[in-house]
Amino acid sequence: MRWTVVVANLPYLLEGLQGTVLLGLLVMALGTVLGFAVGLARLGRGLVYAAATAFVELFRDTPLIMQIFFIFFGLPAVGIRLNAFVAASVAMTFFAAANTAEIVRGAIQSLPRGQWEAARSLGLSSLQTLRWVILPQALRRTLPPLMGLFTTLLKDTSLAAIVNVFELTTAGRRVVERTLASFEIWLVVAALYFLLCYPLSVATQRLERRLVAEVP
Amino acid sequence: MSRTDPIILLQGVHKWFGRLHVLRGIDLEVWPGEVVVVCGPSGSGKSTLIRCINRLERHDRGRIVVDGIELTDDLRHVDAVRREVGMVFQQFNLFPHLTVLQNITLAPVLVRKWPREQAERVARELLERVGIPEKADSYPSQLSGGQQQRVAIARALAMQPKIMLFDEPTSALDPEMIQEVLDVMRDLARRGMTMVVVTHEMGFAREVADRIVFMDEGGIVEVAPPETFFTRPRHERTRAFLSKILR
Repeated sequence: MRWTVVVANLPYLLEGLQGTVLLGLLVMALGTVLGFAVGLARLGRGLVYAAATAFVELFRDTPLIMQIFFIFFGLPAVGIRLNAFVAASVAMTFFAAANTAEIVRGAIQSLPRGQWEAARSLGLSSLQTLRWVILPQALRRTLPPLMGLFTTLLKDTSLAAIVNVFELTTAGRRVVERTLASFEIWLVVAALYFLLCYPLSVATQRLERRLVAEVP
Repeated sequence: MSRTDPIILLQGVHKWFGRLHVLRGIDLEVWPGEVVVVCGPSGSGKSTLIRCINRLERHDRGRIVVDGIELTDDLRHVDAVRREVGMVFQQFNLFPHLTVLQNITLAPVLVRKWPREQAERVARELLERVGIPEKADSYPSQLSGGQQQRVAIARALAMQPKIMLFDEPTSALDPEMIQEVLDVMRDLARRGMTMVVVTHEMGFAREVADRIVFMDEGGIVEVAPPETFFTRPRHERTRAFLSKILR
């Protein structure tokens, strides 16, 4: 075991970790915003509904790695060239949004129909009903699955390594190529991912228990 | 509108759920200040009928005119009717994330554009009237079923509707809580509210209703004042229903 290699390369790996966190946060933020928009659009009708549904199905039913490949390697064929970080961010944002949209739709549809009916019978418009009655209740139901998705996304940022985006997995690979210390380096890389995701995972479970306990 | 116009008018109303023909040509007029109780076996279409009056269900054929406004696909008409028609549901349908006071003030503030202080003053008066002024700051889950239903009535009344619809308001309640809700409804009837009530509470119907509508298989079988309805029902199906429900 050559732990001195780890110590010597730790700053470089931590730089990679920064890339992971940056990509992860970016994708979570953009994916959540876009996902809520798409999820709400799924409640609509006609073209809006059809477009939102197509988006969700497309990005949920194909592997994320294919989406990254397509955007990075495929789109240049039609003249759209994105650098690796942007390509990976776009693919992951769409992937996150499609999954967030399903979480949002599920949370809204899990509310009893009587909530809509009561609000509408009082004269509230459908937008007012959504804003004041449905979303406040649905939002708390989205939190645990949304945090679960965030954990998945954080790990999946490692897929960006295949198009050479600089993040933790890429950093690890470069160090291994240089030092050949596969065992030590990959172990440390895995540990770093674990340290990032485990607290999020525990927080999700706590939140879940709390929300179940205090259904108002 | 003259005094002689019905406040609710249904003419030849039909409704299908897929292939199921749930309303088969309903004609009914309700006059201002009248209390109409709708009864009948389950599946007879009585809930669907009442839900058509504020368009929670859309009728497929015929006309429905409420307070001079015809219910069509025009959403402005639907919203206009809903502002004047309050509804109380079997399952209460209070908003669980809002306090009792917020439940009651939500629609007056958003829809009637009342200032918050005015809406809260009216809400507290209504809570007084339904007998639970001390529950203003509670959440629905902290109330008994009977209390929740009284809040639901206060919430509907806060919009100062001309008509109140009750869809089996006591069916989800424990027996000991039924009276407290019926008392509130009785008080409302005495004050001259126009009410359409779907219920199995025949004691309430006998005492409060001006007319009783008996429905079966999607149609109105018989309409009569309570005295006639209970003592001299004209139709065999009414008699069969009454013999089952009054033992």
